[in-house]
Amino acid sequence: MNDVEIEDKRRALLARLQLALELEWTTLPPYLVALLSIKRDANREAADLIRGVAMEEMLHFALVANVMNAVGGRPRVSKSNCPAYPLTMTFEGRPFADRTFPISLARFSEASIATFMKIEQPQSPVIKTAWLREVIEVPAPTIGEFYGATVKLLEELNAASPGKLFAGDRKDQLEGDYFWGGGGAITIVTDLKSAKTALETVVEQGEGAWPWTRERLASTVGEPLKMGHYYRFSEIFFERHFSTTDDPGKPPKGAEMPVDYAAVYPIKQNARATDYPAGSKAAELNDAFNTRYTMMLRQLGEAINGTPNALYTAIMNGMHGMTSIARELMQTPMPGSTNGETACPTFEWVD
Amino acid sequence: MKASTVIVGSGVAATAVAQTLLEKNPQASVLILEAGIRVKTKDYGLWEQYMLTRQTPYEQYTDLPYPQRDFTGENTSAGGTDMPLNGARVFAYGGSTLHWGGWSFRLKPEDFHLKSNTGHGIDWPFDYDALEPYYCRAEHHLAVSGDSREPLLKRSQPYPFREFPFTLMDRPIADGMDKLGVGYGHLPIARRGVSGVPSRHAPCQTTGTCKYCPFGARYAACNYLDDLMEWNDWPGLSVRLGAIVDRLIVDGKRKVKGVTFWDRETGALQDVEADRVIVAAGAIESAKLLLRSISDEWPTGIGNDRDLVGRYLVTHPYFTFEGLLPANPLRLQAEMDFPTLVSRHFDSEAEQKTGKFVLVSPPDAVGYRLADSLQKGQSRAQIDAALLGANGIQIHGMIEVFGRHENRVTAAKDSSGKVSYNRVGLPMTQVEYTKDPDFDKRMLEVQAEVGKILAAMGAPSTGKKSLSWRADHAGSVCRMSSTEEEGVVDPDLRVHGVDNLYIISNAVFPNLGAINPTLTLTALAVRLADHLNARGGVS
Repeated sequence: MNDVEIEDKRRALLARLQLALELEWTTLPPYLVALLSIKRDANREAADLIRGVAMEEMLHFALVANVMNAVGGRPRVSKSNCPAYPLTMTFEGRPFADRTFPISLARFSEASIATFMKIEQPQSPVIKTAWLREVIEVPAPTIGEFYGATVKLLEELNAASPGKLFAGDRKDQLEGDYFWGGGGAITIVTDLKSAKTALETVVEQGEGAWPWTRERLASTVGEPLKMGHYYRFSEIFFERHFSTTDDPGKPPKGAEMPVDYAAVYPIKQNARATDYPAGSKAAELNDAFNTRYTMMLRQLGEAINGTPNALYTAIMNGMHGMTSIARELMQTPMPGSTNGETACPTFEWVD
Repeated sequence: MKASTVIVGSGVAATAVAQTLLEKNPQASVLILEAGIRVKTKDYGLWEQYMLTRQTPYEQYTDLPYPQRDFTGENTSAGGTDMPLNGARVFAYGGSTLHWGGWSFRLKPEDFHLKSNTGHGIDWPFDYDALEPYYCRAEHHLAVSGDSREPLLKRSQPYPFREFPFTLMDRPIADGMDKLGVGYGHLPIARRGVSGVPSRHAPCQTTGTCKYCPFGARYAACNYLDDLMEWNDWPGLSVRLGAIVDRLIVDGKRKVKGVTFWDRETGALQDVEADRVIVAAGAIESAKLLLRSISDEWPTGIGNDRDLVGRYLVTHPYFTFEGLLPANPLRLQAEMDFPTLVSRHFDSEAEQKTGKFVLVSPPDAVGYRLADSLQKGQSRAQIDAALLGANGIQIHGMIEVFGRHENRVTAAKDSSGKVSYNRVGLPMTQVEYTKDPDFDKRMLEVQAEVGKILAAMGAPSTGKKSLSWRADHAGSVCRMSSTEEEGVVDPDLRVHGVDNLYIISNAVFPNLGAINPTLTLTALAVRLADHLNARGGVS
């Protein structure tokens, strides 16, 4: 590989990692909206399962940021890439093969859990060509393939210029101090081995994983923080826990876990700030929410761009403060609604 | 209103009992009644206010100083030695954990045998080894950071979080102690660290603002109760704030059937029925609640037929001594708002008879205050001169004193025999305390030992010293005993003579040793909950 090729590949790698960051970011508002839409005294087991998954998506975001920083990238968190819903994630202009459906900000419901299962579904081999409007089109990769190719790029670049790829400053890495809530362990990335460990964690826990074996599933029964995301959402969807003898390819057959989809705030799906008339309580709360969301994102951006300490502020002053506003918003009637809908935070960047 | 278990108070004891009961039986019905109201914790706005003004948001929920000529004040001090209540405790949701320092020591084995070893007081009905497993659980409940290799005490499990390192400022004191062969170690402190065990509570970031932690990293009971309520781990758990328990309701001599409380908002009295009542209202208020629960069956207060409730009051005299460092080339100054070095060298069996004590390198051992210099508008040169030059350095400590029958707490009454109420709505307290005649002599011995350390540090004593009897660690006023002749509660913390009434507070300690009582209190709370879980009979 000559220098030009190396630089091209490095750019491609950074673009992929930026997209990976956004993939992880994108799942968070929908998971959090579903979680917070659950009325406080109901569906506790389901809520804990969703919360655990959301925590891990945050970890994945941090892991991708660490890989990016390790190879000298500049992770971008800004207005231009702040996700807007409904959203379909694309790669080079085409939806991922296993993510062709849009993701919405929606209440906790059978439909939203079904979508979450699709998001986290273990990959299966996808046929590489498909007939679409009678034109042969090559679909984008699956998310698992996308991550696999990203790891391969890392390997190639590391082999092409040994010792030069991981030139990032060790001080820019996010460390374990910031993941106390059960999202798993963070990896400090300084070389190919740790970069692969970080990305493998991302894939293993969530989107893009291969189906689990019976033994692996059995070993995580009763330990939801170790269970793959897909299986956790399956437990909610089928209102049952997995048992140690269950087949990962089939619905769970263990103890019942009743879910009450009625004990949920009837929030408006994919609300936008423009849906709330100026001066209304919903508008006021949503503005407050978006202001905090934006501030938190800015802090998050700082944290992954050379000031890891800012993550603590983002968590304690940003994230934790958003919850109470979101809950209040979800109890606030949607202005002008005739079907009893309530408002929902819109997760929009405000300047 | 009805609950299977009513707990009076919402501090660490209440929280540890409730959590342990509910972990075993998630459907259990547990009602916590708290006289005070909520103080917002983990709030950045209040945190900033605290940093700017040094005023904490819970200050208004503490005792006022004793009355003086031109100051109405609260409570009365009727003994020979003033034991201030002002600043000693907090009447709010979370109790005194809102303001505590987090020092989390275990008692030493000899502390459980005070009477056998010294003739003072009484022995505990069990020994260190019996409490040891509960100490481990208490350290996890409080999220204590400590040195698991510390050889001083036998432990069956490591601390949940590793110790905070010594600060640079600890060095002179450590050097002095090294020269004299005075042992020291890391001060175990209830500040959450980072480990592989998931938690919904945040780890310490050493902001140095522990009196109001912006993250809730220093254990505060209300944050834990809030978390349990927020995530609704246990549907049967509820907390009622502004519920000032007026008395315990008896059902015959051997049973209580509930409590009566004042609803702070409506002013109405309300009864709650309960299968059992756990009084966890802090040492002084727990004793006072028993004393004012008068009935035909218990004419001098429930559990008080032998006039022991409220008696044997002790606390820890907190002392400070100062030496003068002739120069401060390392620019030592306060680093963190909590201490990191403690010596339990004199917290020993050898010292037990005359009063064992601990020595602490306080967080502001070196007297220099950068903030003061900045506020005075001093230049860099002036600051350097002040910092590098001679500076005072302090050693602090606490010493054990012994319970005496005549030292006690009761409800304060005016000349007409009427009870008056404090600003929270609780009856005011009368403290009768007189220090032992030979206490001053003992303090001279302590001063001599500290003087040796200061001399070895090259910081000879300035003679400046202080001693506070503040009631932070008030205890022993409902002490635990095997027989009802000697104490108020039995080894299971059940009030002697009543089947379903328990006390869990520093009140039950037979003696305090030389260390902060909270970790031991938490261990006793976990132990009580285990006992109740094993005993069953209540849903």
